[in-house]
Amino acid sequence: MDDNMLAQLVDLGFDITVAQLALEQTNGKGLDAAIEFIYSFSEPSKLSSQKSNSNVTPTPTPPSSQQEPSGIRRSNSKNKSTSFEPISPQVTHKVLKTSRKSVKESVDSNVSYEDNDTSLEYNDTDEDYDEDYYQDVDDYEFDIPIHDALPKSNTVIQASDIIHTALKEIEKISSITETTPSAATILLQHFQWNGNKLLERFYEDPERVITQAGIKKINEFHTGKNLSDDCMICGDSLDDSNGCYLSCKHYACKECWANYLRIKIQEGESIGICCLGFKCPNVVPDEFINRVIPENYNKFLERLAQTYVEKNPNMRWCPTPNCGNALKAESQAETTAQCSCGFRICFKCNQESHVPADCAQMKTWKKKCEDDSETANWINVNTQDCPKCQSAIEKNGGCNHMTCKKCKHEFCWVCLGNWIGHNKCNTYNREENSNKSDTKKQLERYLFYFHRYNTHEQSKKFETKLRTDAVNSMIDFQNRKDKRWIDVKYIEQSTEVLIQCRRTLKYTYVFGFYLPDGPEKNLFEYLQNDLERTTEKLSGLLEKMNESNSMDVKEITNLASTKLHHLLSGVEEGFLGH
Amino acid sequence: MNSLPKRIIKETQRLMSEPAPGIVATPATDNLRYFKVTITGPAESPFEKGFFHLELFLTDEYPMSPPKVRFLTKIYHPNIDKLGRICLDILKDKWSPALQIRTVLLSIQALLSAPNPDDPLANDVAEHWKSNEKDAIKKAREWTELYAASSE
Ligand SMILES: [Zn+2]
Ligand SMILES: [Zn+2]
Ligand SMILES: [Zn+2]
Ligand SMILES: [Zn+2]
Ligand SMILES: [Zn+2]
Ligand SMILES: [Zn+2]
Repeated sequence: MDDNMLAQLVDLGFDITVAQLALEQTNGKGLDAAIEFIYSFSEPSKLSSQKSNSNVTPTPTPPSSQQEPSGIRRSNSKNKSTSFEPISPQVTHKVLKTSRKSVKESVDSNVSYEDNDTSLEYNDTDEDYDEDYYQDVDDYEFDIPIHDALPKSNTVIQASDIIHTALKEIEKISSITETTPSAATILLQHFQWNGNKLLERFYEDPERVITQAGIKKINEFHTGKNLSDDCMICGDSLDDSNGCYLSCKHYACKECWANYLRIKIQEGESIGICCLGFKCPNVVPDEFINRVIPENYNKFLERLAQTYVEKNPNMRWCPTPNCGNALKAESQAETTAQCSCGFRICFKCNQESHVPADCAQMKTWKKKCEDDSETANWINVNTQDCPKCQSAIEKNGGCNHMTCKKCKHEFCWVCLGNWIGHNKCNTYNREENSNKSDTKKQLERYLFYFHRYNTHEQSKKFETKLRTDAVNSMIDFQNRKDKRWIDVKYIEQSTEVLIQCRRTLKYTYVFGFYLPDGPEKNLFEYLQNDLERTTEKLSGLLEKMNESNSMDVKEITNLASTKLHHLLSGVEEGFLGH
Repeated sequence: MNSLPKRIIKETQRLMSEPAPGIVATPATDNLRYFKVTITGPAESPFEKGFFHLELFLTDEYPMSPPKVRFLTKIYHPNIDKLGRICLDILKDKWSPALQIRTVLLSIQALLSAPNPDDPLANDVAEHWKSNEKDAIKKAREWTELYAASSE
């Protein structure tokens, strides 16, 4: 057996036992053949036929627990920071198990799905989920790997919770450092809302931290009582009811303070407004501002929310119009986060998360798309003619596997080729276009990629609607008794996986556009094609989701999730190993 | 017009009763927010012996906003432009309602003693000041004699 190929298969994330088996079975016909074999094996339809002749095709030995650790999953080990959307590292293994379980077993799987849901929830709330957790779970016939691909609740701060979260943070720092809330706010601003770092420094040298943050003195404020001076602003005499001052004793009446603060706020100062005394560095506490101009309080909170999100390097506003949620990167290493509205953001460039393409590629690509926008205009159509009977077909779903209503011809929306035997739709054929001029060739190549990039985006839009419907039906579900919660939940998760696949596929065409030809690209396109086919299948199933195909949806969701993971880890680790 | 705030009345009274040396500020009879100002050029400056006339206006926002001040007499100074506008931080972002007409005028007087060509309003003058200070001072003196001779 070719050890080199074996290593490559393992690098791609395949289980070593499975890889060995695949190489044996394909008789050294090459890497592609081995991968093909593994994939065909994990395809549920083929699986059942394989099962029926199980005396011919040996079932691979399930990897025993001793074989599992160290080497096999080293590429996915958690100490390596991954820039991808988190997909369960155990995916390959689990899905192969699932497939072996087959549909028959799944019929009585009600209980096991219940179980899975419990684990799901456990994982959702478990912020620092760790390897141990996986190890435990690994012993079960656990077949919903997609939960890791779902957005974690702690990465999204709902619009209505932002102020609350910020105030809670302030309150915490204020009580630990024994400072006023406004001083705590300034301290937090100074440390970009990194509370841990703040406290660390504060314990080292509180005086220094306070000075560095620009708080000269932690201000108490006073009103009325024993004021002999007049208001330094309007000259009115001060009495118990209208006199106000900070520790610096710049006396002014309440009305002048209010005027002064309103002007400062209008000018855009929010946190850290100084006392009205000339060159007085004392910062006016928020409590004081809210006392003097109570109608400002709501605006004050708004601004607080704004600075809370915008001054925090790990946070972003969700760019979806009217969404208003804030997104938080779970750690410095994490470069993407997903909003509950479905949008996933790249923290580096603030655009939609674009793995596997990198930010620089996206910049060049977007520029190119702008430059060539006129040429590419024709692509944006939702109506095409059936390649067989020429009747007009309108596309109103995400799935690109089309069936003509009139003549029942099945074709691919992207290349208009026959769906049966449809393959390599994602590979630009250089030879076919070799008799054309260079400029023309370049343009055609670009259009080839742009077309697919664009089609996946269009599909994603349709499928996002599917997801919204799923979420709505989950809300609706509470008033209904004919569906089980877990079933509805599953649809939401499946659409989520579908959208992730779509988004990734969209950007694989940017990545592919800049990937030089060679064996690496061949393998990439192989995995891309594979993911594309599974995605279309999933999309088709979800569009006509009903009771009878729910098991298929579950199977294909798992499969899509696995293939997504293969593609992404392939991109990250390099396809041919190093 | 709004009734005159107590603060403006107080400031005006004090400006009249204890004027700052070298500064005369008189409110117009028909508009108590509008002041005619004369600053005497400080000794040992190129503006010595000159009488510089300015106008000062207190907007409705005063003292929350700074007074508007402008030179009426032509002056060769890197921080004062052809239209008499003055580049002085306290008249802009460094304004504080705790400042007064008196402090503003004293600051302008100080600016005549110490021109600051690094923060210029009149770029050509500032350039002149930086490249050949002696020559610039000479020109400022000429202008003082030429335009700022009259105390009226
Ligand atoms: Zn003060
Ligand atoms: Zn007052
Ligand atoms: Zn959102
Ligand atoms: Zn980016
Ligand atoms: Zn047709
Ligand atoms: Zn196609």
